[in-house]
Amino acid sequence: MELSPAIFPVKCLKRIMPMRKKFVVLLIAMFLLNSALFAQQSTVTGKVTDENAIPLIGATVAISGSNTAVATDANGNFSIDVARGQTLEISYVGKSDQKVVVGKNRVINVVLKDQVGSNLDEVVVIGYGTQAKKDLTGSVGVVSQAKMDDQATVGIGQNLQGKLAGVQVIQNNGTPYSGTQIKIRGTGSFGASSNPLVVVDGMITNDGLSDLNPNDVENITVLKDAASAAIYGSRGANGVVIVTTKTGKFESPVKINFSTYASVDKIRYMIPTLTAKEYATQVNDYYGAANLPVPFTQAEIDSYGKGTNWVKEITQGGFKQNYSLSVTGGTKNNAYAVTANYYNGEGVIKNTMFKRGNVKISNITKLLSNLKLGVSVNVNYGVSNNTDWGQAIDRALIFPPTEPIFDANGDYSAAIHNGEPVTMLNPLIAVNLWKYKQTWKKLLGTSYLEWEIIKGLKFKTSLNAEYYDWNQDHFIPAYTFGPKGLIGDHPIAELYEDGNQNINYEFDNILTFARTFNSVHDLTVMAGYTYQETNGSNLSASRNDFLNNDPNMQVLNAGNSNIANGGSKYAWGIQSYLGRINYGFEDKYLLSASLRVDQTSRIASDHRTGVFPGASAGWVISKEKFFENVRLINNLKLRASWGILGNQDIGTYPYQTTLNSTGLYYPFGAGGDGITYTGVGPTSLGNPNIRWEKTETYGVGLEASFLGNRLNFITDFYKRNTSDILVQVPLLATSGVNNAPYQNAGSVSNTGVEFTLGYTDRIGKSFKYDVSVNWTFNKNIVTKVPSPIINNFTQTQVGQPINEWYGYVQEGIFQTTDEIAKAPTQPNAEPGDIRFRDLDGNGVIDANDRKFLGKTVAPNNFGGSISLEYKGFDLVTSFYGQLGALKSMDQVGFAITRGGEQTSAWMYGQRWTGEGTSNYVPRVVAGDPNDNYRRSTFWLRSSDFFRLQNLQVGYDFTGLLNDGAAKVIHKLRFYVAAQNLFCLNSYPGWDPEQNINEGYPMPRSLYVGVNLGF
Amino acid sequence: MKKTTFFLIVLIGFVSCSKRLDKMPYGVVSTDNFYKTAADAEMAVTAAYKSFQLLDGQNTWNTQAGYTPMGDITGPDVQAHPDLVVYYQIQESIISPSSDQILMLYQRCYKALLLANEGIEKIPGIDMDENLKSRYMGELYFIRGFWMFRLGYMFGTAPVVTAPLNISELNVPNSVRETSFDQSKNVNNYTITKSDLFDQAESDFKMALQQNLADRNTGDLMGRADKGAVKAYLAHLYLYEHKWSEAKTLLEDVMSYGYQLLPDYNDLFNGTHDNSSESVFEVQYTALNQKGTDNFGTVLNAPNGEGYVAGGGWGWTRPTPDLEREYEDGDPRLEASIFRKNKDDFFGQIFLDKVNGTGLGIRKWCIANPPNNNGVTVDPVSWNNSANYTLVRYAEVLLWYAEVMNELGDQATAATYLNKVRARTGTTTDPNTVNHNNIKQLLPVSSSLRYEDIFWAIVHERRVELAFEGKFGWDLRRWGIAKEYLTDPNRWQNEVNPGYFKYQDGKDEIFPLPQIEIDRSNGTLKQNPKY
Repeated sequence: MELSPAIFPVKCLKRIMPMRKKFVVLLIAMFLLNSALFAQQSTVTGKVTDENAIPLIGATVAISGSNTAVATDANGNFSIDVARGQTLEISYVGKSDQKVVVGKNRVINVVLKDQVGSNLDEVVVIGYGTQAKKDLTGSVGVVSQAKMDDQATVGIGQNLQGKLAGVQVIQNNGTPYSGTQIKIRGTGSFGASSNPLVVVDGMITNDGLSDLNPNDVENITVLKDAASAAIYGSRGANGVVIVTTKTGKFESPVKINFSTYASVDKIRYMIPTLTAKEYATQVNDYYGAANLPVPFTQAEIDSYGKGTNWVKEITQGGFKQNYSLSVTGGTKNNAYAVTANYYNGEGVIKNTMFKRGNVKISNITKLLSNLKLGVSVNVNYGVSNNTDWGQAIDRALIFPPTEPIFDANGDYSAAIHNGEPVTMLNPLIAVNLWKYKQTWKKLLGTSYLEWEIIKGLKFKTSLNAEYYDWNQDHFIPAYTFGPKGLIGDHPIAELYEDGNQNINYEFDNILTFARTFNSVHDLTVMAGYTYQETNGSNLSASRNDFLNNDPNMQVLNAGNSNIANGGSKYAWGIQSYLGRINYGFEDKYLLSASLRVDQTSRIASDHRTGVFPGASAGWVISKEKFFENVRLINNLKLRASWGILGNQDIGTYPYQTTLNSTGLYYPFGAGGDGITYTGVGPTSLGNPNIRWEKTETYGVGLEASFLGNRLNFITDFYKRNTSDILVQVPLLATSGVNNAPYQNAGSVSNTGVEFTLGYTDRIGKSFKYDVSVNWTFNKNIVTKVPSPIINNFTQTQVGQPINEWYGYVQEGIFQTTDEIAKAPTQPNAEPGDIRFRDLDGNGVIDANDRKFLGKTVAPNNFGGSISLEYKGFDLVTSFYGQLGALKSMDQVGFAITRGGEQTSAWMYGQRWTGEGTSNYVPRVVAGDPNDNYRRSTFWLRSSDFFRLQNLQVGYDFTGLLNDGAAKVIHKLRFYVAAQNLFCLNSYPGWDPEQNINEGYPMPRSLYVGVNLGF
Repeated sequence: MKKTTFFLIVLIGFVSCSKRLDKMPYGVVSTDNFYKTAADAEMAVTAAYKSFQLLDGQNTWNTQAGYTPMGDITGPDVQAHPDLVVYYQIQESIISPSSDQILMLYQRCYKALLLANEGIEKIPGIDMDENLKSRYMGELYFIRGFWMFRLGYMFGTAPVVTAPLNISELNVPNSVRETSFDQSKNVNNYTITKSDLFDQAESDFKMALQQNLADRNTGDLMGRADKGAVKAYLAHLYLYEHKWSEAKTLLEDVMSYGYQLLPDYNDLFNGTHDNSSESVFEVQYTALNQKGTDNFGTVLNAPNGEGYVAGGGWGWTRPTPDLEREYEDGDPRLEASIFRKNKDDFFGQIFLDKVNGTGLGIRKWCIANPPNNNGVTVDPVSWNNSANYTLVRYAEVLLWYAEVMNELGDQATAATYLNKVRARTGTTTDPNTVNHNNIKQLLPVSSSLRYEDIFWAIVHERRVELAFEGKFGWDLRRWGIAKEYLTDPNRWQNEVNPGYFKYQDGKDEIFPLPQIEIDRSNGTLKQNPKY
């Protein structure tokens, strides 16, 4: 079978056209027509009680599809004006809703039944199927549309931040197109990727969540435990994120939603830098302390003021805007959804922007009563027009504030004063002149045919494809700065273009049998086969020497010299057999077992096949007879699960030792330039014995609801043992290669507990509130590693968490020579240098005085949200944070590493300048004789934080519309919102989630937005 | 149900196709499919030569450069740019074993050894012309010997690796290194009595000499190892071991191969005389061929902030007044090697020492942009050029021979060979175009001087003749005089900053082994003494 995208949109458009006319008519009607034109009204009264005939006070009685609602009084009575044929919706917390169509009867009494757990009939998308929430036996987190709709977010990752226990979402940086990194239940591997598998509408994507339109999302399911994720076998070890996008529903009216927002962004925390006067003083200290001539005279220093703040010069206020439209609906045999989105963001660094457009069309057709055809096409286009912000930020944090922006000739200035690091690029050149343009094109098409062969037996075959195309143009213009010919001249412009393509297709065949026997035995059996293959390629080209720097000259053909090109290709494939059985007895005893067999091209054929089983069980205690009289607890379920999962995300060809000629050319021959010969040699080591990385997980969970389902509590305890971890153990230099091959080396265990606690209730008639908090504690321990994995500042060793900080311990600053004489020997120390602790007590500070210093990954993660509703008002706020890890700031350095080339005001203010002045930051001295720079606790800072990620207040004006308008407009909500409003932390960089001098500053955004529904 | 059966058959059809999972990487070859032909052998040898383009390099970058600052920074001739903290640490002998620079120097040796070892292991099995095969093997043995020798004088006890190792074999213990001080002598009294690395290098050089190598390459073979290069390096190794008579024979062989000093000293360092008559072994570079064979050295070397070269010049090392004082009055090699503030010029542009340096800049290897580049290819965008970089030139062979003869008691011959080098000063021109200074022909050294006087005359001559060529720091260590020489209070650095050089005998002859290697060796690898 094949996709039919060509036919499909046409069909859909035809369907939309007449609707548009209808929409216009309705709009006119809204303004012209008076409410009196609508149906005759009369008063209906009644009483709302529970099953024991006890009156329910404050129950809501609303007219379906309108804004009219009343509440019941102290005796459970109500009275409402309603027309015949309209529907009343009666609701009460903890009770199932009821609908009553108004007929001749003027008195309507309603009995509301207890709800069986909150949302428990909700259907949850699981791997290759769905399951009722009440029947779940694994640990599955769901974020529903309700929690995401109407929220101003740029990417889907943001919608997950702080929402689920055990799911840690880290924003990569603050660019207007920033993606997120998701970690589920800790870091399970220290070699292969720790990213979860992302499945969009049944397609296992290569590109993850990026570029998808958040407004397209119907819901997100996160499979956290092994039993749930086992159906994804070799790729499920880091958990699975399943995204389901919006589709239409059969026989439902046209729904149109439009929303838009605009925001202004500002850097939340500006890194303070030195004034010119402070900078000159620091530079003089640097040379003076080493008895070198000092570059600045006192008169010069006195004449300096604040100087240039380069960080301010490269930054600006950002601005984002977003427009989303969705149209959904369905007829008897067709259900359709069309969504479109346009986003445009200007970043907080000058000349950085991103825009993205998405269109998604989906349609489900009943070809026969038992045969359904589903098709969807999702087109994404993204453009970022960028400068070299990375270099700009890096330079802005170190460029001398003593320099003006422009020199006397009107050129960008250079750092050319005595003692200044003159080789450095002016940050404004990086931000104003360098160009990076990236474009993304993504097409995600899914299609399936679902055939109900006999009742309960379904066969579904799907063919899905993801095409991903990423291009980059990088133009470095010709320019000069500073005195002509001095240093930074870049006389010849360069253009680099780079194109990447990735095609990923998947063919799934799933047979599902579901039936209830004797009305007590629920059985679902699923079996299937899938094959997935990815082919990718890259094409790059570059030229130099352009006539000028005009944007329209920035094509390769305009370049006159250094014509170069390159290209590469790769491919991988995986085929799998899978099966699952779910069995439930009286909704009380639940069992699930699954098996997946995977074969991947990434592993040599001898070890290629991996078997991944999973099993789980649930016991709904609250359904037991002995529980009938327990009134306090409405629902109580105990779950247990076990499973083995794999990880193969280790590059495409890790097992092969290969030879290549990259960078191995050498010329020979007399005179001039000789003849260049091609060399071929080993540049990497392969490992043909690579096997699957395996993760075995045990988990138990408890779900409970109390107080009429108002209070919900979920806790999970898990233990994940990952063995045969695929890791690139850094090799000894004797190997002669840089890149270590993957080895199945070592084991890691993650033990954790998760809690989610939610409370939903209402006060009085119309004040509804919902509070939810979650906490995850994860303990990560390496249980086996052949030899410690040693990096400059971190080590991975048995008994320690993965990649723990490792180095010396600072014990203050030497204040006097006397103190140095009495202290353990530190060869070249002088007053003002860091005093290190003699851990082994042998009287000498050496390599044996290093130890583990703390965690790089936080063991505690928490998040939560609060939402309130009062009449038309709504308020939503969410927060998240982490505790227990340290972050290094060695990248920012201090004037230890290079000349005066550091402008951290934070360090400067605390530096040692004489006895008693500081016990933390050492003196500034050229040559760093004491090696103050060495990796020690000096560089480590807590990365704990608490972030108020989102605060949103909205008001829905539909209540104020006249009835006629209210018939047409279902939603007219205005809101203001703030993102990243504040972040409590003590890390001296842009953000505790970013390395100190890397990455784009995280902005604080203030939004206004509108949501319209028809 | 028939249809179901049909679908099941379709499924099974897919199942049987597991061939599709055999994906081979594109654009690379596996070891099984290579080392089959003479062309493969040539490519394996070429890859091994590539390692010469990445010698000392710059700081911790992996950029290739004809520039060997380590041998300069280990002596008193240069001061590092203040940005290069690690160069100061090396110079003062306070370098930490955890320095990235040390690790990079160490790793480069083993990368080179892997490329050489791979060829040495695989080429013998190739069915090809035996003469050509022998030549390739000779070149590879030389390359392996070169890097073993380098590990030997730089790191002393580093592991000996003579084959490509698989993952389980990488943890190789230290090699043995023993030394002795001859109490009866004041100078040149330090000998390496036992070194596994030197022994392996010696064996490799000797193996190379048994292969089909020309005495001295010409034409298309220029740049490859020949017997002249092998013997020069073997002689150099013997100087460390005080095997004077063995060295004498080798150096005499080299001198019989027809090398000649270039008449004008300036021509050696402006890129215009690649593979000249004076060149014994030099690293080959080309530019603008898009294959990464360019030389980045001039940018690093040329004075900072003067704009003399493409990229402006970074002045990572600058000459010290200590070196300036070493030159005899009127020695034209001073002006050919050094820019003096407000005195010397480069194509008319006076040296101003714009960046708070020592008042001096390195002129050697300063290669101008067009039109003053004398035809040397210069890439103004990448700042690379095509100039080769000479590792051993004939002048050094003559000075080694003088040293050997002095040690063997023939001071007159020693003086003769020393004077051959000094005689060139008569034909060396003044490179300055604006301010010409007086240059003179130097007087010959007297042939009646005693052993120690000749020794110090050789020290002086090597220092000025080979300044900034990465030699003097290692020479001081080889001669056993480094402590005395460097800690002399009259050294400029010690004058400016008392006690600047903290050199210790028995420690600083060699660098520390990288700490990370010791950590990763799980106790197998031991640190060099006193680090």
